[in-house]
Amino acid sequence: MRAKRWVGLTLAAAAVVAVSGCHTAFGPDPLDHDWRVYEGTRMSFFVRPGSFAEQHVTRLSEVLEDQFSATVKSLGLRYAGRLHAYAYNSGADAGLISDSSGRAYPETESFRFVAVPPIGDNLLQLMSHEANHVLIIDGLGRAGTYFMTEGLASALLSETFHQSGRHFLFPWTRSRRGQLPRISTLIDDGGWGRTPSDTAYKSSASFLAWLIDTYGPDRLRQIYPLNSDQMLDRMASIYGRPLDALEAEWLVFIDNWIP
Amino acid sequence: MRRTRDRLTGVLAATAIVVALPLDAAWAQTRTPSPPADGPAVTWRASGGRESFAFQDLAKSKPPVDGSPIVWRGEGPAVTLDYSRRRPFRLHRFELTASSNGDFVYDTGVSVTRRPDADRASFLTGQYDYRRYFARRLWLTGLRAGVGVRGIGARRTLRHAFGGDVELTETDVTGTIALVGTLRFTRSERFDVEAEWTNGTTLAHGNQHHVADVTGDSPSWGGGWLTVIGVRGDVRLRRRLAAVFWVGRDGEGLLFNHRSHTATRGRVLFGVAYAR
Repeated sequence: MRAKRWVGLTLAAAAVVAVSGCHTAFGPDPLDHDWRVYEGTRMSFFVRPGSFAEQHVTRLSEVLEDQFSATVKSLGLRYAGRLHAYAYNSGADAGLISDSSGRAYPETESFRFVAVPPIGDNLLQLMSHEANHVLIIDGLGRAGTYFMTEGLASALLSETFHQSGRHFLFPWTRSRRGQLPRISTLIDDGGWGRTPSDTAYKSSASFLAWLIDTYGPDRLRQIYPLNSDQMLDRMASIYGRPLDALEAEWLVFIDNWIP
Repeated sequence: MRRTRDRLTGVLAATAIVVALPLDAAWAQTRTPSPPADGPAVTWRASGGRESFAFQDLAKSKPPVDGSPIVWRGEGPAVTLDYSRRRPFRLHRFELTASSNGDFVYDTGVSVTRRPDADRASFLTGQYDYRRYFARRLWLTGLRAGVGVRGIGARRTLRHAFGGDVELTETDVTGTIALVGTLRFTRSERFDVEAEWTNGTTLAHGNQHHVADVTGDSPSWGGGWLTVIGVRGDVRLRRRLAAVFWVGRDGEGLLFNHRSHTATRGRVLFGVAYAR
């Protein structure tokens, strides 16, 4: 009877060990193998067999190649690695919150996104935004703020195949002129977290797109790695004017921007 | 191919244990274990073998964890030196392990592509174990449970070469405190095998050194977790000499500001032990 109890306890302990532990709880699930690979010049495109993404893989690859060239040129990057793009059929398929989601993994030069019809601006800008995370972080290192990480990935969207870059960001900014968060709030990681994500992403991207166009990529590269406090302190010395003045200049530009 | 090799070494180790257990039982029938000495048994062990390393960066570290679809995988030699002082129900062990992984690949889930030779991952780990064993045997003669604590200090360097002569070198220094649960089987002096399950929390300082046309550093403090599952065994060959093995896998996560990753390290080590 006693021996049976010990056997039961030991088996229970073994089961606990097998199914628990930090690694089980906090480790990622392994990738499934239901993928077909299309090799491009500077990327490998992984799609579900028979999916919408597979039907349009040539077009998607063409957009990504263009984005690769545009981002590298805009920032003067030396990065010449190979991207790995995974296109999922739905948010549920990808384990993401919606069909308009994506994630990037710069250390392994990869990203994933949900590819659902139509093949329009939303899909192309989502894919390009995630690709930009990989290109920018592998080219420049890690940014010090969410403002820079997320804003720059959208600010550098190429508009060869869609109009989701400056042609979307600047009119969007103008239409919300009175409701925009202060740039100093967005630079602060705490303030970024308290701002609605859609507003935070687009406002940051609009400001950074203007900043690159007006003052060039070299100064932007100087503020890129700075954390929130450092960036607020050093904007003035790098750009020769305080952040408030830069913000005012940006808003005047937005008011007068003509496509 | 590497996974197959890992599985093969695992199967070989399991087979060795399964074969050795009945041998040990037979030995126990013909030989009476010597009574425990007054002082602790002091043992030095040196072993070497292979380590396999796998890395995934994370986009979201809270469960359900969102990890990269690509695994950065390498392997290389590992060596361990340990010193232990054991009484029948108590153990102190100091252990130093060094390993260097190369031959890196990207495992994409459907294919494996080779990485540049400059990709490296090296580790230097020191740890201390204190362990107590329960006097009451479980359902087999010689099978006892134990619990313990482990302190681990480690330094690692991960070097990742991207196209265009861009290089990312991550150097992390970590300190971990962990709880250990064990099952130890030692029915005679000839064979001693112990399975361990370890879980702990980690404090880390990491720096990413990024070299492109300009060089930048991103230092930050972080935290993490560690799980170790392993089996170690001693098979006595002579009065003071034993053959030893260790088969184990470490799973860990390190979470820093704006970046996090998980990694696993599997090791299969064989060596010798000298008992003073």
